[in-house]
Formats: sequence, C-alpha cells, structure tokens
Amino acid sequence: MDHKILGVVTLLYLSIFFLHILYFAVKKEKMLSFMWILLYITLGLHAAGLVARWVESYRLGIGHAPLSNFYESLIFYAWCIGFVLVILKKRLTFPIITMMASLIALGFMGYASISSSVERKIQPLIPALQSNWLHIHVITCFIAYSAFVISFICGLLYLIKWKNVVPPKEMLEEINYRSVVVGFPMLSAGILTGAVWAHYAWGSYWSWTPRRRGR
Amino acid sequence: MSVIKNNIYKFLSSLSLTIFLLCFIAFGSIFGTVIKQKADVEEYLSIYSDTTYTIIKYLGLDDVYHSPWFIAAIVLFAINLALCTYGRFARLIKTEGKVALPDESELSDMSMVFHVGSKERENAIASIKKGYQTIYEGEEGVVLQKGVISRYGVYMIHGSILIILMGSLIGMLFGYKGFMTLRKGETKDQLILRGTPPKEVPLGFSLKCKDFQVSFYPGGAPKDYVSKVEVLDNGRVVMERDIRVNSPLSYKGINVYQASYGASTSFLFTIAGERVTLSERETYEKDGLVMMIARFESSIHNFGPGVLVAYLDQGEPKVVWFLKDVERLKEQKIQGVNIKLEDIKENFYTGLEIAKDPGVWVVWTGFALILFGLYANFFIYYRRIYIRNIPDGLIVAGIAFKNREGFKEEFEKLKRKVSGNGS
Repeated sequence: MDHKILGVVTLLYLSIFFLHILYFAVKKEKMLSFMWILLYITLGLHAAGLVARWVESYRLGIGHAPLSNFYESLIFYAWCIGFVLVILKKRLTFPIITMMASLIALGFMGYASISSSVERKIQPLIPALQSNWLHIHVITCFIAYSAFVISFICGLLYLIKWKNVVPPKEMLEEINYRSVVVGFPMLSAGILTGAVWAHYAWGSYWSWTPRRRGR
Repeated sequence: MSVIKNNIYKFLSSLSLTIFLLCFIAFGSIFGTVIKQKADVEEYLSIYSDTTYTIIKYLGLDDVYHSPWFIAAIVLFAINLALCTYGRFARLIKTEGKVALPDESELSDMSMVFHVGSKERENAIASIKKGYQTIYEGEEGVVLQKGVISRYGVYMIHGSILIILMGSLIGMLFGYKGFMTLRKGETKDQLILRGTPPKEVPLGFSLKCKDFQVSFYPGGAPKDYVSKVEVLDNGRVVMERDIRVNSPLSYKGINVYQASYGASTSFLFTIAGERVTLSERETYEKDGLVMMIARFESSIHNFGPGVLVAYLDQGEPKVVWFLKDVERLKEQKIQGVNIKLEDIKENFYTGLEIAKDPGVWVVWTGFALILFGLYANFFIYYRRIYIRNIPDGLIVAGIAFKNREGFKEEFEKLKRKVSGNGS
C-alpha cells in the first residue's frame, strides 16, 4: 500500500518538474498557481504514504515511525524538502528554485525506489533506536538538511547570471539567509538532541564513529 | 613589559586564532573519526603497518580526544572565546548606557522616517509607545526600543559553549566510565575502568543480576535486552529494576546502562567431595592442589564437551582432559585428589556500562542556553524608534541592525496607524 502511494508521489514530483520546464517554454502565470496546487497535493499524498507505512509497520507487529532505515530517511528527506518549499512560498516568486528543489526531491524518491542497495522492507527497530528521542532527533535534523537544500540551490544560482530566470542577487541572498536561519538552529537542535539521547541511552554524548548506527 | 602583555592579549583574543583553532580541532576530529579509537594493539596491526601504527601511537591518534595536543587546542579555544566575548560584551555595555536622541537633520536622513502634525502629537506618541520599551524620555523627545534580548543572543551562545566545555571538564575530572559483567544470580560491587591496564574500583553499592533475557524478532534481529537488576546498599535491597538499552538505571548519581551481553561457560566440579564452580581461566587452590581451567571445547572428536585442566605436579605444569560424556574421563585423580566434572553450564552474562558524570546537568544547561541564544539571535531582532519634538509636530525615525526588511514592514504599518489616528 505505502509503496504504491509513494510510487505515485514520485511520478507527481516528476510532473512538477516537467510543469516547470513547460512554464519556461510558454510562460503562462496560471501554470505556476497550478504548480503550487499540485505541490500541495503531492505533499499531502506523500504524507499519506508515510502514514500508510507507519500503519503497516503496526500491522506487522513491529510498529515504529518510518524514520529508521536508509529508505525511510530518503523518503522523509524528500517530504521535508517539499515542506520547506511550502514554508518559504511567499519568497519563492522565481520558479527556478521550486524547480530545482522538486528535482532534488525527485532524485531522492527515485534513488530510494530504484537502487538495489536500499532495503525497502519495513525493518524492526534495533534496541538502540527504541526511543522517543528518535522522532525529535530525526525530524529536527531532516528539516535542517532540507533548509540547506534550499540554501544550496540559492548558492548555486548565485553563480549564474540569467535574466528573468535566476532571481536578482539580493533576493537570492535574502532567501539563502532565511533558509540558513531555519537550518542552522534546527541542525544545532538536532545535534544537541542527539547528544542528549546518546547520553541517556549509553552514557556518552557522542561516539566518534562516522555513523553511530547504519541508517 | 606591558607591550608584551598587550600583544599576548591581542593574539589570544584574535579572530585569526579562532579560525586556526577551529580548523585544527576539525582536522583532529577527522583523525578521531576515521581511525578507530582506543582499540587493541592487535586490531591496529591488522589494519595498519608497523610504521603507521608507531606514528599513530606517537601522535596519540588512537585516542585523539584525550591526547595532550587536542586538549591544549580546546583549552586555547576556550580562552580565545572567553576573551573575544568579554571584549565585545564590555563594548556593548559601554554603549548600552549611552542613549542619545539624534538631532532633527540626522533623523530626517534616516531611511525610515515620517512626520506627524502637532494636533495628533499626544495620540501618536501613545500609540507608537505600545509594545515598545521606553529607554529615554525628555523635553526634546522619546527613544524607544524592542527586542533588546537579541543583542545578547551572541553572548548566550558563546557563554553556553564555555558552559558545555566546563560541564564536560567536570565530567572528565570527577566522573568515570567503566563496565561490569554480571552472570545470572551474580552480585558485584566493583566496576572495571577501561585503560591499560584495566583497573577495578569500588562502586559504592552492589548490583545483583536476578535475570537476563535477550529476545529476537522473527527475522533474527535483536529486539530487546533486559537485565533484571537489584541494587544493594549496605546489604539492603534499595531498588529493583529492568535495565534496557534505552532505559538505564540511576542510583546515587551513577548511571548503569545496558551495553552488551555474551555467554560464558562455568564448570561444576566435585573436588574431594566438595562442590566447586569454576569458570574459564579460574584457578583453584587448596591443600597444595593448584589447578586451573585452561581451555573449553564444546566437542572433542565426537566425545562431547571437554575441559582442559592444568595443574602443578611438583612445580611442573601438566594438563589433563576431563570429558563430560565419557565415564572414564569424567572422574580422575590429580595428585591423589578425586576430581569429578559434574556439569558444564552455558550462562548468559549481561554487559553493563557504568558511568558517573557529575557535569551532565551543566552540559544540559549549556544546551538549553545555546538553543535560547540561537532563537534570540536569529528570530528576535533589535530595533529603535526615535521620536523628536519639532516646531510643527513630531519627527519619527526607526532603525534596525538586522532584518531591515521585516522592520520596514512593521514601520510602515506604524506610520499608517498613526496617520489613521489623526484623520
């Protein structure tokens, strides 16, 4: 069930991307409002897919939020990117930013569903992850990562000069600042909640391994 | 002399030192992340060559975060941060006390400014004052401010970094980290501190493992490790609890975490009519008989499990196999003493991580403060409004040092409200 919904969601991200390309070809402003409606629908359906996976995990008797393995991280990451776009909607008057962001979200969704190295089955939670800190830690981190996706796009666009397509430098700076202002405190909160959790679960703030546990 | 002092102060509080130290610490942390920390010599030699290992050992790269150069960098960073923060803070306090109302021409040069007619003067002042803090009020006008806390955000963040460092220092100096393994039914009051050589220290109370259980998911992944533990203080049971991976036990400031588990074998012997339980590598000594369990094999040439027992025969070490399932080899005489292997038991033991960290609440305070500081710094902004009496009414000007766009909107709203009052 959740795989089917997320499959449709992946296609929707693809259509959002194509809609942008179409917009650059015909330049009809109406298409942009349609694009935003489509983005809302996609985001809603994406959330429904995550919830379906959550429900499914309970049906399997290993109930946990879909935030535990690599596949679930990618799917959640893509959702967060869409979410940050909606938060910044007022400032995203140039569609190039939403276009690149939807391409990145599409990339994560596509990689998650195609790559053979990604385990798509719902896996049980190992004891180390069985904690409510998991939700707080993962959500704050991924919102930060997604905000950084937007600032990455702004940084990239800053290097390109393309009148009427790429926003003026001041605007890029403003959007970049906004996304970093969301991302930086969120990542700090993510690292701190991670340290609190680690200290609570095994007595040290931070274990200096590249990744504490395989995601 | 004072010139040298001045230069040292300048160097220690310089931004270049900060940047250098941050890069240095980050670089050190890369080694600490890529090279396995505090592992055994054998483990290093299986990965690196002899020369590489010598370099690693010499530079302390096998324990980066406790090596003198890393700690020195952290201490220097703390000093640098403290001096920088102090310098800036002192300057802020100095300017904070001085509130001056700029004159008319200066105010009309500001980017955000509007005029109010003399009729609406009283109403205008009252409505602008709403939501703002008055920091100066005099004959010639008023100075208002808002979001003053954001000016302290930076100091909160810097201060909290120092607090966190202090908390971890307290933990390092007055705390410890060790472990204890407990078999079912076993009671211990000593923990082992890691290091070379490992050291046994008293815990201050005893832990008794009443039960230990591991459960698995149908797929084989571990689901839960639970140690049922009793805390005994002065021989009295003061607490009984299940310790799980995400649910440690805490008693007298000491935390006990579920870290690992394993299986150990114990061997039940009857030695000269007396029942004795020995574990691997354990030595038994009585009435001139010295013996030790040297090795355990779960199966020896299809004869079942066997125990290799080493003993001293007039100073000479000798060995003999005891096989549990072979009658002839089950009971043997060593130096005339009748020894019988009764049973071999495989028991699970639980691995408990034991840590005392008195600095933890200092660190948590630092964490809370850093989050509040980030909020104050990024989401609240400082702005000032100047109101000056002029012959034909008022001149109102606003200034913000951050989020000018946001303040512009707010200021426009204020302007509309004030002029709306008048009409």
